[in-house]
Amino acid sequence: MIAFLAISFSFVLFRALPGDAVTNISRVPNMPPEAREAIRAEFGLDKPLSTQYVLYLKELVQGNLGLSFQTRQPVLGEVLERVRNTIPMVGVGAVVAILVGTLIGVSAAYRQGTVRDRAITGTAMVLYALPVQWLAILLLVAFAGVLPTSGMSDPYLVDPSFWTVLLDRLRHMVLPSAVVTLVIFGSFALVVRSSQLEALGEDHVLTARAKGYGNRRVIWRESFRSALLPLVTLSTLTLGWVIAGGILVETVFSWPGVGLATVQAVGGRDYPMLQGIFLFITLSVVAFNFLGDVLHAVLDPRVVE
Amino acid sequence: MRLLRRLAHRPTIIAGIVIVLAFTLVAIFAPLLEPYPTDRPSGEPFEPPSSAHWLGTDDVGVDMLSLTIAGTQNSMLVGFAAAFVAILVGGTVGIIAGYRGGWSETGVVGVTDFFLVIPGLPLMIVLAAIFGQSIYHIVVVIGLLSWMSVSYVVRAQVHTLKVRGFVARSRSLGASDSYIIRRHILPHVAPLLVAQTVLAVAIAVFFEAALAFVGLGDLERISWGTILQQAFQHTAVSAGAWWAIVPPGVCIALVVLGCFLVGQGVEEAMNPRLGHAHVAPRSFARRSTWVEEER
Amino acid sequence: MSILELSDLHVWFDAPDGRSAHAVRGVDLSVREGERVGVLGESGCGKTTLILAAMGLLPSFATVGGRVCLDGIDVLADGEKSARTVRWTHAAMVFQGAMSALNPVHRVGKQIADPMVFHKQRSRSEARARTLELLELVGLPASVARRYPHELSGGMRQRAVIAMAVACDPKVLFADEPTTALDVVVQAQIGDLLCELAERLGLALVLVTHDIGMIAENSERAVVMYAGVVVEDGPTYDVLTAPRHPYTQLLLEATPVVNRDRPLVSIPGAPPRLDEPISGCAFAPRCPYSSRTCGTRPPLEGAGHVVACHAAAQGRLA
Repeated sequence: MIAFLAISFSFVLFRALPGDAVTNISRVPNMPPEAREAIRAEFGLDKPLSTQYVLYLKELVQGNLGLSFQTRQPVLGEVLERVRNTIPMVGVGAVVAILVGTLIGVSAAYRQGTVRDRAITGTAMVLYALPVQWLAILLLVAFAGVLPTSGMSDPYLVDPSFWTVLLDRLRHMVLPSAVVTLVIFGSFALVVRSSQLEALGEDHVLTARAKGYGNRRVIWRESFRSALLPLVTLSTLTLGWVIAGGILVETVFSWPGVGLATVQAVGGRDYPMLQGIFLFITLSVVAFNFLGDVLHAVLDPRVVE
Repeated sequence: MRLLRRLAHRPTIIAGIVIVLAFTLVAIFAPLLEPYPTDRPSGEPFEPPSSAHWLGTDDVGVDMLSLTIAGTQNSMLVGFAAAFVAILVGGTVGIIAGYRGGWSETGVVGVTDFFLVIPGLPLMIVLAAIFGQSIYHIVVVIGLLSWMSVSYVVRAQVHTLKVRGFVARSRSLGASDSYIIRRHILPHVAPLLVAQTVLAVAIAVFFEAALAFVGLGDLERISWGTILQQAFQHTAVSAGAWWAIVPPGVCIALVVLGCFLVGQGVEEAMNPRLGHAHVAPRSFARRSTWVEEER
Repeated sequence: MSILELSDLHVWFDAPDGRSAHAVRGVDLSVREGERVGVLGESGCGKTTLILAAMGLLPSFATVGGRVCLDGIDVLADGEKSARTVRWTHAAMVFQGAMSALNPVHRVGKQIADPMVFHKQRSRSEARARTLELLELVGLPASVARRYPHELSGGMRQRAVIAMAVACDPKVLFADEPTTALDVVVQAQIGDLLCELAERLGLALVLVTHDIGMIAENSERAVVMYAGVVVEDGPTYDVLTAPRHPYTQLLLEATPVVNRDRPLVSIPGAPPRLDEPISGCAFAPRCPYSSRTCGTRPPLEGAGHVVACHAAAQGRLA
């Protein structure tokens, strides 16, 4: 349901809002009025809104998102390819952040009040506060000689084998993924910590302790599952967010993913591309949120079907 | 109030307040504090930090320290203005929706949930691309995309207040809606609003920098975001001119951290955790009871 | 023959601002096998802390003094480590508010069976069989094993918690306010269940409550606590009909009786703060019989029915 709303919202955004999205985005200095008219006609903007809407939906179903201004290729194909590039980089970064963040968050909760806990909390807060693009640039400067700092692969490889290509890609991925990890880790660790702290204070934890279980078991088997629920929802939200948030990271490292594509589309006044990207990003975030809701329902026996 | 006393006990909140205040002051008095003009070069391009230029110069030779101070003004301005918009809209919507309940609340919930799902930065980028890049547009765009989480939290708080009976009791005594809202709801929601405002400022500062970085900032004004963007675009990286990169980022990080400390501290003070963890690394202690304590 | 022995037990709690509260101030108590003891006192008198200490279940900001000997084992010798040796296998506890004592994400049967396997008493399948036996013992249908806690009513949950507590055949069962938040009918049932189980399984029962009725119905011996110390200890019937300590007397007088026309009485004043040192008898400020001797702490004395009160020892009580 929300997906449908999202699609409609996108339509409203790009077509129906005052400010004439098309001409603004497609703005070229000194554009002659005939050219502008031609664009309007091409996009069917001279037809009434309702007709446009229907046409929009029809084309969507057919997978037709228009042609990119910049590349003259179908938008859908372009977007998909960019997404294929983004997912590994962002995915690895996010997964590492989630796993490490969870472990560290649980550890901090267990050691609440100790020096270690305060150090962890402080570090997490600082990491959370750092602006993404700034952190990215710093890492870029720091590792400039050691690791590749732009693009996804080395264009000068001669007759590479599969493993060489893979290794090359991975080397290019290290820095941007690391940035993603660092940025997400902070907020994640903090949320895990507070969720686990709350779980550790619940009565059934005392019961578990009274049963003679050791601390390890009490933490992981008894209280972590209660703490897990908000984490799962947060994880899916994070994954959804990162697809969008990767914009800044991709810009810094010139990683040819969907984030960089967004920036390029804006810069190149590529209206169809921008619309396509936005639609795709929005839909995938919606999908992830939905996944989060489903997982929550599965994990929590208290949720009534 | 009790709340204020509880706040005063925590050093982290004090630190946060100090940081935010410091930056606010710098923002207000920026033109007086800049050692060098920001519209023309006062040194060589990419001069490293020296006694003349504490933070070095940028790609055209403008003093970095002055740039950073000037940037404080716009960045903090956007931060507060956008936060103001977010709180105003979010707070009002949250209170009214939570108070009224029924259809209006369901409608509001639907709208907020919908917008909460839509990814923020891409939407902001699109909106900024459509509507243009002046600072006013940016403030509105950021504000309009931040009000949702505010209203969500406020609405929840209003609900707990309703459950606690103030509302029903006052109504049965004949109090009007606006009276109830003013006397009963606002005082309880106020600290929450303060916490949310501060957090909204942090978010706004971040997004301002993000938008600027992708080229959608207000190009005629100096802000931390634009400084960073300029540095990146104009090869500060390859020139190794870290001084052109570090200051704006540090400022953003400090403001966000400060806001975060205050906001989180206020929220924690409002909802003190009542229990304690039942397991801990340390066991309980033992002590010999040979000491006679009572006569 | 004493299964539980507390010697000069002290418990201090450290507050974050550096102060510490002396919650249990020197308690000597011994419980025989199969004995049913009720510990009576108002909120804050230390009764809950007492039984938590008996199982070593104190938080890390607590400090303990004295000795707890449970079934021959020194529980407090080595902090958590020594305490773990008695938990569930020698002594178990039924906590206040069974609603939250059960883990919401695990099935009830699993929660009952797991400790048996953990403590290597039974195999998985044996534990499962025993679980069903236990459920029957507490009057629950076998289907409960497959359910989650939130699917059961309050009374059912409390019974499940009791079944869980006796799973590893402990010798002592501590029950902390087992019937608060339950309706009166269920309260009575649970009380009866506890007594019945204690008899059938040969358990010693230590029942902590502020509910005099509970004590009257379900214990053979009553221990009255005030401000961290035991003030009276004797056969329940004697303590409740012929109390020897002024506090107990006033407490019983203050209990509202439904079908008699009597004014409501209360004990003037309030219990002392436990973060400040108390000299002498803690009850003296509120006691109608206080005198100068009450400046020193009265020892527990008597035969069979002991009391810690100078006035009582001097025979000045009504």
